[in-house]
Amino acid sequence: MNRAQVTGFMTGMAFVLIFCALCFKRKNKNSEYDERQKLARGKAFQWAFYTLVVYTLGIAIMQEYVKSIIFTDAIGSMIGVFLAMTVFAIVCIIKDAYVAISQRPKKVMFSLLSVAAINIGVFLSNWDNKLVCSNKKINICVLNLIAVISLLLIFLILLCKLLYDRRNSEMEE
Amino acid sequence: MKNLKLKSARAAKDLSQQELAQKVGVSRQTISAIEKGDYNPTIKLCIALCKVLDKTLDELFWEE
Repeated sequence: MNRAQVTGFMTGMAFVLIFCALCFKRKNKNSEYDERQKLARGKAFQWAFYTLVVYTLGIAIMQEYVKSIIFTDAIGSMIGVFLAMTVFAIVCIIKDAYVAISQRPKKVMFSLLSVAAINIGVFLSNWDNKLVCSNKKINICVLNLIAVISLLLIFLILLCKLLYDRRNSEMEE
Repeated sequence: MKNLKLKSARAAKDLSQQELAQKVGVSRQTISAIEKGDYNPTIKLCIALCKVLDKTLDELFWEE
């Protein structure tokens, strides 16, 4: 192992540790879901899993018959992950299991918009530097755009669901 | 089947769905789903609801 590899490994480990610490901290504070939400999230996970399976199958068939695919295998796989994640989030939102009990929906929505804004910034900077496309193939930079689309879609559906819930709760009371 | 007993017990205690949800540690939507009959709660949640509403399991969940 050379020095760069060791540095890379150490940086990766540091990120994993920080991420785990944050997850553990949040688990105790505000990521509690009630029993109905946990069931709904399980169903949503199932939907996401099948989406990924169907997408992977679709990509495999496409690679067999379509010769000029405009993205690389890595990007194709990542698009599938984003797609599955979006399906998971949408099913959770529909079943009222996206926002934890003690979480504030506005905070979640602000987080979604913030991450979308960062991604769109990165994408536009890559677009300016002409890094998005090379040799008639889309580069990995396009994942920022896909993340933006996915986050904005989740944001919009969450917003609609919250507005619908607000109207519904007034009627139910 | 709608759980009107739960709804009336909650109304008798002058609690909103949100307030009851907070007291038993679930989301408002879960209380709404139980009242609408869309979700069957676990015995643990049923007992928590009974304790908050001062009712027995039979009074809240037994179908006659």
